[in-house]
Amino acid sequence: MRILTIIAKNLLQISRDWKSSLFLVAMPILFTVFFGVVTAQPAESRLTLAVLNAAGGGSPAVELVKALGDSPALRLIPLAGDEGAGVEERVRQGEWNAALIVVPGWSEAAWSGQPIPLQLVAESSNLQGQAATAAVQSAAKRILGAVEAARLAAEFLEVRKPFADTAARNVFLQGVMARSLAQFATSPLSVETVPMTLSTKPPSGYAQASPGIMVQFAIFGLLTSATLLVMERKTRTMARLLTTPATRGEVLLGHGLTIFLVTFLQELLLVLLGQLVFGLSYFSAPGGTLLLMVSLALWTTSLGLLIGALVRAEEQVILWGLAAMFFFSALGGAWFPLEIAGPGFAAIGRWIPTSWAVEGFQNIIVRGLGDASVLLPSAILLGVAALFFAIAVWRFRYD
Amino acid sequence: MLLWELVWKDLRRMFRSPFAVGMAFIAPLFITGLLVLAFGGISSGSSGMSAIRLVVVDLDQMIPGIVAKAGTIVTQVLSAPALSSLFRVSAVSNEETARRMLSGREADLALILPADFSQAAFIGDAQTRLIILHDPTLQVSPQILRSIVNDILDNFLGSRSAVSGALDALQAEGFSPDPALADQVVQRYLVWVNSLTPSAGGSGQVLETRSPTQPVSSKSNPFLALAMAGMMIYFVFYSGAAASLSILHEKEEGTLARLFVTPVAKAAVLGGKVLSALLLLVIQVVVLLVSSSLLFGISWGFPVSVVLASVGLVACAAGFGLFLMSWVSSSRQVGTVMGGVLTITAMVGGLFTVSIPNMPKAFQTAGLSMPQGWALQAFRLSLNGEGVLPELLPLAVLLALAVVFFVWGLARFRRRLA
Repeated sequence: MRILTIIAKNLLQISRDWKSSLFLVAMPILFTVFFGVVTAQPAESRLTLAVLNAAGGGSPAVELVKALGDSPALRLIPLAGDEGAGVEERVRQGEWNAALIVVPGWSEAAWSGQPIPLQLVAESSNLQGQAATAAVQSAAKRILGAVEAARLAAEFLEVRKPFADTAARNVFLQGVMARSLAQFATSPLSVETVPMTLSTKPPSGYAQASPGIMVQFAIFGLLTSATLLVMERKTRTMARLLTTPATRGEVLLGHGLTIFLVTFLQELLLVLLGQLVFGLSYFSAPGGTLLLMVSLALWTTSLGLLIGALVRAEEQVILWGLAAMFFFSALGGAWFPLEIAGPGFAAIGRWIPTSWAVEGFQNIIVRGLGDASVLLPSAILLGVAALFFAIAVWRFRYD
Repeated sequence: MLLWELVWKDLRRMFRSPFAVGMAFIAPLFITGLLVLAFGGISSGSSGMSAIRLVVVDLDQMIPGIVAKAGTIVTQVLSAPALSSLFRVSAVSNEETARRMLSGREADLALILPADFSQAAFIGDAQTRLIILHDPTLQVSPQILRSIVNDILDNFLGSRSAVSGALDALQAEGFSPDPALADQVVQRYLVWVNSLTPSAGGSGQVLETRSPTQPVSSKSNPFLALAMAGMMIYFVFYSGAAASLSILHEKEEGTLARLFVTPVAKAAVLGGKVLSALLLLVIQVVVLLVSSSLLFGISWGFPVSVVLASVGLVACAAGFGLFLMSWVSSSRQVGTVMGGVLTITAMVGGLFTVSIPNMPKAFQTAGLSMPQGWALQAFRLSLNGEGVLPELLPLAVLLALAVVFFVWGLARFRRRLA
């Protein structure tokens, strides 16, 4: 009963500060929407490629422009000869994803077996620039490969029976090149990527943003609760509480359960948002989702108590709370998938409890796995929570 | 003289607070450091990613009369030392084992090479499909593998075209088919392929790619430079608000009331607060620019450009901080209001997504609705080495916003403290 009274008092204090409550609720929703939209695939996924064919009518150059036009990854914008001057600026301004200049003499160089490089303007630190580069490179290699196939065929034939004249040789070369390109176009070989998931829904940008932001704001939310602890000590409310029949354990438990409730309610809101608004499948394994939410909230509570136990001033709570948020969010893969991080970062990240929380939620919403898939992540979160609790209880100052 | 004493008192108070120092200097460097750890490999020319654990299931069958096996060639290429930083390849005998390894997180990707792979690659016309199985949370790794495998398949088709072109032509001229000739053609074709493949020692180049922007220093990693700019702007705005927080603290502690009964004018007291905030931010920006340059090798641009961007940032952040704090009624609200408002405006201003490469253009435009977005624009121009002229617009906007925030914030404080 005393514990419930302490919880009720804390919740009343938090809810009276409506600005804080607003941020506990509004910020995670805004962040989830923002990062979900940012990481979602755009409807028009084709990349715009401006092409200036300065090589003229040589067949490899013409075939290259045709191959680029046929590429499902690219939307081609042909340029006139006088438009070549400002291509860098127009790519930089985002008008096109990349611009290709087929340099004069490119076709002749290809036929001679000494290809000269095409000129491509693209941002190499930009995924769209990289994708455009890969698409152009692939098309160019096919054309050059077809040219080389024709050259080799001609060379081996010439040894046995020379061509009547240059025109006959050219006809032969064009024929073999055309046949090679036709083979590329009707290739019997294809590659398919198949995600191994039991979920029927395709992964969206929210599959990373929703669990990631939930983890980040679970830690952010403890700022309010941990501040409460420090303020109680500072204003001597804690000392006065201890003069009541409430024991030290009850006081600590009351505060701990407050942090737990605040975090859990915030998680519940974000899970409902994910399920009902963003179409994620949290409810496909309701028991697993609930277990993980409880484990994450308990881990956050332990962290909040630990910070509340170790620091003296309100300002320090914010400092350590934000440091914990940045550290555990970034390293735990809440901001970006650990897949794209460097080897050292990813290796450390896999030891961080928050990465297990993200992993557990993604087991359900992306991999389509059942309740059992969150047992290990939950066990790890609860194990670390127990450790933090033990340190918090040991170091907690009541005066 | 009295004004300087007030300024000095505030600065001393701020620098004595481990919290203020942490947020002003350590936090931005710490977060950028985390990003260096995460993505530092990008600057060294590598993929910047952990090696992908790939299992290959080679079900490919030998074709009588053909020495090579397509499945073996693909496995060898993927296991080559040139790709060792990208893939850690292991082989298993069947698809079930590969699926089990993927489910158990012992592997990231599985490549299934079908039984009729060589048949389709070398002689047949029947369609066949190579399958890349992957964990659904992985988005980039499967595309990297797919791109490399597609390149290898193109080489198969290219060499096949060369062989069929030569043999068909010879046959048309009445020469009998010669298997040794086919082998020679394939070998020559592969020599040509390798000549265009840097990882195979080739010096030829299919593409010459150039960036549309010219960073001042080629040593700077644009990803990290922008990330650091974003963090610096975020924490300078934070410090701007924290500096004005002292007005609130002094009011609650009663020292402000005592100051007001001294002969010092109220305007001078508030002026001292503003001046100390400006000085703190100047020190913060200088320290962050220099230390990030030394720690992460960031070249911020031409000195004049950097100074202009910094002036705009400092003025606007100090004004915004004063304005924001003028709306906070008690120090209990400070943590969440400061964190909340600064984080939302920074988010919309693009500070957290500055390094995300495929940001929709609408977000970049929306970023300019926030002062942080204009500060970022100024530093982006400086990092791109655009020169002074293009920077005048963001500078003018930042200074105009600073004036509005200062006037409005001071007016509110004067009313509250009356």
